[in-house]
Amino acid sequence: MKILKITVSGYKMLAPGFTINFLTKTRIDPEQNNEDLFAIKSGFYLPKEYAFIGRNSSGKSTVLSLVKLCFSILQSGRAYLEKGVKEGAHLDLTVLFYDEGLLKRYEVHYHAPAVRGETISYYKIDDEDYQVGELRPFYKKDLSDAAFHKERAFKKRSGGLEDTSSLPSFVKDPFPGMIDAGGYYTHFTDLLEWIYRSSHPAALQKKLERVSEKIFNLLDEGIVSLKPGQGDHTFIYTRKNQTPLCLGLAELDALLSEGTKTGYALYASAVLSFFFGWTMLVDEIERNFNKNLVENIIIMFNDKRLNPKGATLVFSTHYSEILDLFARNDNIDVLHKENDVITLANVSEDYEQRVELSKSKAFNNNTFDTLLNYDKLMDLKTEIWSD
Amino acid sequence: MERLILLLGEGRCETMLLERCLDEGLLVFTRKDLLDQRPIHARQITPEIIVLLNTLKRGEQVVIYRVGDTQKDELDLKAVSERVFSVRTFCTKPEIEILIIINEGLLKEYSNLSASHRLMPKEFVRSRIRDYDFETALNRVQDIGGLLKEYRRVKKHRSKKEEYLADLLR
Repeated sequence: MKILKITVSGYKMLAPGFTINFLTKTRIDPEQNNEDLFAIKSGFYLPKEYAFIGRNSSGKSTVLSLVKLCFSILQSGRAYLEKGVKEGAHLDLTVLFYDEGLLKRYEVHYHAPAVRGETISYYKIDDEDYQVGELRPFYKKDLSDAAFHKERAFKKRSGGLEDTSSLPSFVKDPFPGMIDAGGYYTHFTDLLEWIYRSSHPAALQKKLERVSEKIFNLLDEGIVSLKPGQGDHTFIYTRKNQTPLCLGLAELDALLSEGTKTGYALYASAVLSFFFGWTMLVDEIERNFNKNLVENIIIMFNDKRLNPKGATLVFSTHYSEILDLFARNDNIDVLHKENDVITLANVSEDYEQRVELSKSKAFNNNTFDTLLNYDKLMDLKTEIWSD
Repeated sequence: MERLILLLGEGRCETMLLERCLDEGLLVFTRKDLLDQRPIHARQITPEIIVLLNTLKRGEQVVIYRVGDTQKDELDLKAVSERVFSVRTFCTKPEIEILIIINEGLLKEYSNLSASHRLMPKEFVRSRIRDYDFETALNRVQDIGGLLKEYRRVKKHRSKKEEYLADLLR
């Protein structure tokens, strides 16, 4: 399942009608090296990486949390409420996605309820619509002219009630199709459990364990092996020239360095994405990692030997140099926040650039208006030095 | 110390040809001898190549094998000069489609075209082979090694700086 386009109104500070279009926006030359693209069908391509850039507090995390929410809705049929949403607030969402050879469109209108559960609460549905169609080669690149028909099997829910007994799942894949490499989903111990303890087919299980060991060895050369132990939640952990230790998850978590654990979360999430063709979300990809490690992750997503199923890396970053690894411009969106309204512009569609200028140079020249505001900076400085 | 090879395929077709040679074990080196264990499609040193080179140990150098047709533009090594031991150039002049012309038995016809009607190899194969695309034509080649040797045999002029892909055959 691939999300192609999201349009939203009422989500945090995003401008009404805020739209993210993940599809390529420029012509694709089949003669060129297009390893950074995943061909969906009939001339429609998704870049294997998609970046959001912008100043601090420009809305990058908001956009990634929206993408995560959309995956969750398509998977579970309901939208969880995030902190701070006011009672009665409306959320209108349209998601275009490609699944099982069909183009699908889910439109939903929610409002936030007054009574919230103690753990997790959900929006109430006012109205919804689910349609399917073919992805035709003559459609516009942004699919604004795509035609759909009603999905007959779909029973619409409405009236502000949430019937949890018949939650529809819009995707058949039992997994969410998304991995949040910066969030709770990929907490180090969760990932270990998922890789070592899930009931994967035997061949896949062996493969995952071997790859997992290589990741540990890449991040910490002293780690020789990590294998599942006999007891529940135990692992046999072996370091170079040391006796193997049988450790519980919590002990292992405490023993390994933060760098190893966060690096593992990033690489293991990437590997799972490669194996299952998932979308990997990472907010501030450079956080906790050195540049070379991040750059190599991006190169790996573009490598068809590693990523034959077209897994996608969707991330935000402040590292302008990372963008130089992109062969394209149309997979970079710039976010701006003005008067508490977040808007989005695409580097290819909305900026004039000198072609000879690298993306990092354009970024550092403030072409995208993403650097510190000079006047505000001087305000701060003068306030500090003034009496 | 054995140096890794940075194998540059200047175009998609060259890269495809190199992949096929590697898959068939025809070359004097294997994937393990290559930086990132693959031919890299690039005309110049790209940010991706710089990242890969920077991943090598301090002081480790590579030998660049550059495969392309005319290779008129100089390879700019400024950003990676400390990482590069030497550069070797392998040509498929005038265009890589000359290999397809040889394989399809069209070389005589192509050579006999008068200068005023001379087409570039790509244009020529497009005019002679219906729905031509390089990948399909390459898949029709039974003996890649033999084809590369035949190209070396029939090619009359070459610069001393340039080598033939056939020189890389085992």
